[in-house]
This record gives sequence, C-alpha cells and structure tokens, in this order.
Amino acid sequence: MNTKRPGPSFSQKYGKYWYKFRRNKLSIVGLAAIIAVVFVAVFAPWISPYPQSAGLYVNFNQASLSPSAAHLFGTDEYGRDVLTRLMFGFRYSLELVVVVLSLDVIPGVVLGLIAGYFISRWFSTLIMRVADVFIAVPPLILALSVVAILKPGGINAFLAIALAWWPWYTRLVYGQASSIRNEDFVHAAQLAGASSTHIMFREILPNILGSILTKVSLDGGWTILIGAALSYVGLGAQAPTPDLGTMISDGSAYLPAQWWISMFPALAIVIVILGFNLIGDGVNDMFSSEIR
Amino acid sequence: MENLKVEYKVYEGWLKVLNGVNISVGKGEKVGIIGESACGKTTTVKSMLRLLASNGRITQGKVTYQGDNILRMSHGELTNLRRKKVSMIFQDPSAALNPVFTIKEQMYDIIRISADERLSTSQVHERAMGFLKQAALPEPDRILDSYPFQLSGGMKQRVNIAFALISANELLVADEPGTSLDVTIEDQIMRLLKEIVDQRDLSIILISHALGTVKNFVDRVYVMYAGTIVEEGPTDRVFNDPRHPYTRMLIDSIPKLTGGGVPEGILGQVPSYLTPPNGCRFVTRCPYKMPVCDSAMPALYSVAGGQAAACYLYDEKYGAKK
Amino acid sequence: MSEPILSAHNLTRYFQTNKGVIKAVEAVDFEMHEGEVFGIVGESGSGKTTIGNMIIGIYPPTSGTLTYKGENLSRGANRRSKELKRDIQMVFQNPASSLNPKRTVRQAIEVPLKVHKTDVSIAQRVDELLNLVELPLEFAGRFPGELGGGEKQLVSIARALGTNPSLLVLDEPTSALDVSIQAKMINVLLRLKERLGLSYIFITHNLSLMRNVADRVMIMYLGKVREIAPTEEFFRNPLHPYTKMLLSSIPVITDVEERAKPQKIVSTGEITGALNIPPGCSFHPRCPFVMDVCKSADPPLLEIEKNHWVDCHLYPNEYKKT
Repeated sequence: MNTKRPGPSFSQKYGKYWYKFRRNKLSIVGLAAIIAVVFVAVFAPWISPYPQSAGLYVNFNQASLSPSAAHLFGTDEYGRDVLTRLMFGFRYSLELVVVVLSLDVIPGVVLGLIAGYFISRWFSTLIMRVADVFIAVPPLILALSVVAILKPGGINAFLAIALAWWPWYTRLVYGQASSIRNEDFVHAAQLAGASSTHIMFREILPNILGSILTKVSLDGGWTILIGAALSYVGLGAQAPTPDLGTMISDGSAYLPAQWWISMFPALAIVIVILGFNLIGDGVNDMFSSEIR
Repeated sequence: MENLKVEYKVYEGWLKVLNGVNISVGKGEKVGIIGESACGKTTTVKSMLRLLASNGRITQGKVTYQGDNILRMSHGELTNLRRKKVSMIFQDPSAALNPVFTIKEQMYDIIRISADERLSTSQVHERAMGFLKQAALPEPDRILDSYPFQLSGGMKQRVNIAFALISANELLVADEPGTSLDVTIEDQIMRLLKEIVDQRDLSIILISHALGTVKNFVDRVYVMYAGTIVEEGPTDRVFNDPRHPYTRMLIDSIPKLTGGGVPEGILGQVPSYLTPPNGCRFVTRCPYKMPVCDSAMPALYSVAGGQAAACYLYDEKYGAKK
Repeated sequence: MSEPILSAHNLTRYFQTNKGVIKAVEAVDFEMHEGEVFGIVGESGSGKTTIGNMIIGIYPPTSGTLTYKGENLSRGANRRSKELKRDIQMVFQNPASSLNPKRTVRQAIEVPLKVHKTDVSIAQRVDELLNLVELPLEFAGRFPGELGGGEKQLVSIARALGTNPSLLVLDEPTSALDVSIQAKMINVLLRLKERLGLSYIFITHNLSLMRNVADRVMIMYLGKVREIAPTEEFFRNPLHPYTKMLLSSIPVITDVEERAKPQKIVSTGEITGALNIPPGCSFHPRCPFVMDVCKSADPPLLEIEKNHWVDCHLYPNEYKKT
C-alpha cells in the first residue's frame, strides 16, 4: 500500500498566502518601498552619485548647497552629498535590522515557548520575570548603560538594542503558547506520549508563526527607529559613518534655512517605517483565516 | 422572501449558497426553518435583514415586508424597521451582549433608540424592568446592574429575549436560541418564548438543527438542504409524513428515545457550494434518483394539505400518483 | 459479568480558583466491565468531563481511588507508566480543536505511533488506521481545515486507536456534528468496538443517543452520582427526580417517544453554579419532591433494585415496587 501520492505543489500551498497578502494594495506598496530600500542599500557603493561622500570627505566649495540637478538632495555642511549619505545610511539601518533580529528572534521565541508550555514550573516564572526586567528598563537607558561600559560605536549600538528587544518576542510567544497548550490537540499529543520538544516545536509553534512573522516585519521599522534615536543622541554610529539619525542630529543645527540636511533623512526614516508597517499588515492578513 | 439567491466570495471563487429560496411568514404565525449546518438557514435570515458579511452578495430575489422590498429600502427606512418592528436573537448568548457595559446601560440605549418620544430616565427604567419581567427574569434590579459575565447562559439568553422584545413588535427571528444551553434550560427558554409570542401575537421565524425543538413550537416548517428549500408545510404533516427523501432520511437518522439501535445516517456529503449540481442538490445522496434529477432544480410540488416537496418523485410526469 | 476493569471509589476532584473552590466531582463510586459501553450523562457542570479527564490523566484526583486493570490511575499522565498511556486513549468533543490545524492528517495520526512501537512501518500503520475508521486513504495528506466535522472526528479516532488501547474515553464525540453524520460516526465506533474488543466510556448530554449506545448509564448532577442503571431499566423506570426531569424535557419528534417520556417535571428553582453548591442534597432547590431532610443531609447511593443505584432520600422509604 503506498500513500505517497504527490502532495500539493508549491504554488498550491503558498499561493493562498500571496493572495491574502496582495489583497490589500497598501501591503504591496509597502513591499515595493522596502524592496527599493534594500536594493539601494545593497548597491549603494555602485549607484550612489558621490560615493566618497560616505567617508571622510570635505569640500567646502560645495557645502550647504540646496537641492539641484547635480545634488538631488543637496549637500551638507561639509560638502557631502546628502543623497549618497542617505543611501549609505540605509546600509547601516538594514545591517542593524538584520543583526538585531537574527540575535533576538530565535532565543526570544524559544524562551517564550518554554515559558508558555511549562507554565506552572519555576523556570517559566523565572524566564518571564527576567523578561519583565528587560522590558521595564527603557531602551534608551539600557543602551546608555551598555555604551557606558563599552565605547559608543556602531556595533555596540546593535548589541544594546538586541538586549532590549528579545523579551518582546518572549512575551508574545508566551501569551499565545500558554493558551494554545490547553487545546485538545495538545492534550492528545501528551496522551500519545509525545516529547515536550515535539509538542512545543511541532504542535504549538506552527500556530504562532503568523504572529511571530508579523512582529518581525513590524520590528524592521521599530529597530530602525530606535537605532536612529540612539544615533541622534550620539550613541550610535560615529562620524563619519553615515547614519540617518546622526544626519538628522547634525543637520538640526541648520534648520530651517538648510532644511534639506535634516529633512531628507527624516523622510527616509518615515518611509522605511511605513513600509515595514504595511508589510506587517500584509503578513498579518496572510495568516488570518477567512470568515466563512 | 422570493427567489432569493445569495453568494459568498472566497479565495477559490464564489460559493453559490442560496439557490432560489422562497419563504413567507404571516402575521402572528410561527414558522420554522430546519436543516443541518451550512445549509443556508442563517444566511437566509441574515439576507432578509441585510446583515450579510461583507463578502456576501444577494444576486437575485427580493424580500418584502408588508409590501415593501427590504433590499431596496433606504438606510433610514431600514433602521426604522430594525428599531420598531423586527428583531433577532442569536445562537451564542454572549455574542449580542457587550462585555464591558452593564445590562442597564445596554438596555437603556436600546429603549431610548426605539422609542418614539424622548423619555426620562425613570420612564426608561420602568420599561426596562417591564421587559425583563416579561422575559421571566428573577430580581430584575440585580440583573440590570450586572455585567454579562456575571450571568449564566440561560439568563443571558433571557436578557437577549428581553432586548429583542423592545424592538420587535411584529417579527422576531430566533437563530438556534437554545443550542448552546443545557436541555432543561433550553426547555424553559423555549416555553417562555412561546408564551411571549402567543401573548403578543408576534410572528416568529425559528431556526434550528434540532428537529424536536422546532416541532413543538412552530405551525409551519421549511426544510433546507444545501441552500434550497426541499420541503415545506404544516409541522404535523411534515414530521409525521415526510415526503422529500432528505426529510425522511433526516428524521430516520435521529436516535429514538425508545431504543431501536443506532440509525444508519445519510451516506455521502453535502455538495460543494463552489460547483453545485445543476439539478437537485440532493442528487448525490438520494436513493431514488432518476435521470431527470440531474437536469434542473425541481420545483416545489404540492403534495397534500399545504405540504410541498421539491422532488421529481411528486411530478406527475415522472410517475407521481394523484 | 466479569471482573470490573475500571473502578472508582470515593473519587473526588476539587479545583482551586480565585473565586473559591469548585467541587467538580464529589465522592463518586462506579465500576465498569470489559467490553462494555459505560455511559455518563449530565448537563454542564455535572462533572462528567472531569471524570473523563481524570481517567485519561489530564489531572489527578484530589482524593479517592481510580483503578484500571489493577493499576492506580491517581497519577497524572506525565507520571504514568508508558503501558498505561498506551492503553487508555481519548476522543474529544470539538473536532476543530482536536486536530492541529497546521498538521496534516498523516502527521496527526503518526504522533502516537512514533512514541510507541509498532510492528509494521509507520506509513503502513497509518493506512491501516484510516481503513479501520473507514476513511479514504488519500485523506492522509489533507489538513483538518479541508475536512468536515465528521471526518475530523474519524481522524481523532484513528489517532486514538494507533496505540492499540483497550479503553477509549469518548467525551461528547458527536455533539458538534450534524445528525446525519452522527449516525455514521456512532456506527463506526460500535463496529470498532466489536472488532477490536474495546471498552468505551461514553460521555454525553444527549439522552436519545445514550439510549441506543450504552449498556449502562450513570447520571450526574453538580459533581455527584444520582443514578446508575442498565440502559433499558434507566429509561423505562427512572427513579431519581433529576433523571425524570431531564427525560421529560427532551424534545422528541414522534408521538411514540413522547408517550415514553416520564411525566413532565418542572424545575422549581434556578440551577446553582458549581461554586455555591447547596447543602444537603445539592438538587434540592430545583426538586419538586423536596423534603426537609433533603436540605441538610446528603443522600447515600443505594442499590434500590438489582444493579439500579439511586442517590435520593425518596428511596427506599417511599419506593414501592409495582
């Protein structure tokens, strides 16, 4: 007897997800925006008009020029092209997102699963109280303390944010896991004698995946915002590394006359966050079940 | 309701649920709609009150209330209808009650909205107490001050009945009112409902998949299967002498209190609404099927004394005896 | 009859909540024999599901004993012997939550097979099980969302049978299903019982179903046993007032059944929640035959007729055998 019939094809299984995502036009807009940002960030060294602006560069002849054909977003007080610095700024922001999420998502989720499934045990309470502590401390303060111990700098900003971020995943997963664990199919698996690992990762986790992925999408935007906030206060990337937050901070001294130095980076942040939020909406739709 | 056709849009296409439903309710009449899950009973009444989900569409037909087509009413007229004349009780007692407001707050709102003139608070309070008493609720003051979660299922359902009474002066629609309640409580609720309906000469449409509940309540009954009415008629006739094969098999598959073993049930499955059969929708499971059954939907053939079945077996052309 | 394989003595289970102690099950005694279908009937709050859960091991009893084939079931599932876990399995009420929506039918059935040894390959065993419950083999690759309620339940049964258990606890297995599917499911269950030599604990609130399925019936109210009797005796000659009340409020369809019901008994009060269990006999606020002794003393469970146990002060004093 052979029941290895061919399963549904890739497009059959996942086509429905894409259909749900693209039903909302705004999600597509968000996706397009972020794809554009990623493209720009990856290829910045090659497509930016004045790559040297990204590093140590001064050209006071060209300083503080308003936007023109030669410099689409104008130049800053050192004569560096704002557009180029923006593109490189995206690189930094995206590096931040990738590092923080790779560091945080998996441990956060695993801890949440353990705490949610073993809810009556001591280590579950321990995990959640530790998470509570990290959540209670405002991210900026946490970052300040990390940076006080290590020097201010790009990598350390990443670490600081990563430390502040993981508990939100734990909380999210804990909340859902602790209610799913009471469903009949979990009882059935326990009755069958399945191991806890199996139950956590094979029974519970697939049902939470939607929320996790939605949060990951939204977090793209939030981490960038926190990163920019840190840089704005001087704790993030150090000069001359271009970074959206630093650019806003530096340019704020020249407002409102040379508005372009701060404005464009600020707009860039808005667009990126909006983009991630719209994607997050779309991801949420992907995993929601149809009514009827 | 005349020739009502309703569809829902889903990922795979359109679910052609209702396929020409005709229902009528007279003044003071008690009418039942019975059928199993997903047969379209709730869709039917929701279409009637224009409460369909956003992916639903009424593709054909009309619903007239005292001569006016509900489907063409303006928003104002529809609101008036809902405030003064027609109301609905739902299956889940908690669904219609907002958990963050007390019963008093919710009830006062409804009373004020459905009243013709401005009422003072004490007048509203008096009316509220009156409705609660009509719904046989003990200690109405305490109930008014309670939140929904403090009440039992039976009490919540009685509160829903009280709410419905405020705005239903002519027609009440009850969708599976006793299904989520214990049998003894359901019994109480149904008897209460019957008393109220008889007393106030209301018309009522009662929907249920529990045949016993419906049988003891309504004067006339419609049997639905896969979005079509397969049989209709006076309650006694339909239950004692079911004519449509589905009705017969449905009644047979209910275990009897007197014993007799477990019935066989109906083999097969409800056809998919995505690609419904062109002819009679019961054709895939019917032991009496004939070639003509695949061709087109049978009309309702009159059988006797107001009873009618939508089956070619009763068409004289195909051998029905007169 | 043979030796009992499952016996409960003084079985008790309390739940601590922030509102107080819920006495879900109180001093329950009963016995069950091999190959029997033992029915437990009661409304919500009666404790029937709690008993099922204790037998399965979802939680241990607070006090009292529960033994299966000589082994003590007082430990929760995590602490039981693997053999015991294999031997007792459960089918749940709600088909939608019994199966993980993100796992295929095959994956669901495989879970117990991976833990306990099978003598054939796992894939083969899955096929065998699907055949046993009369489901087509191609369902193995489907997700629960693509199956109907009845089919989902059949998958749950197949999963439960994977470990070759000898006792199945069925908690309202058909309550969420339509009547026509219910019949099919029950037939499959009864065939399986014969074929595999199983014993069933059948929990439901549907008395008509119980009549045709169970060999003996135990009725519970607010955590205590009220009556136990062989099925036919239970329905023909119900003794406890609660049993009579329940039987008399079931809506039935045929007149034959209507006549078979005991005389109508109407509750004289409201049902109390499990938190405020009245003193004495906990049914006394609703009992039309209440006497003074009922308000203070809890009646014992006595064998009034052969194999017919009743928990009521009316017996044996008032009872005269006709």
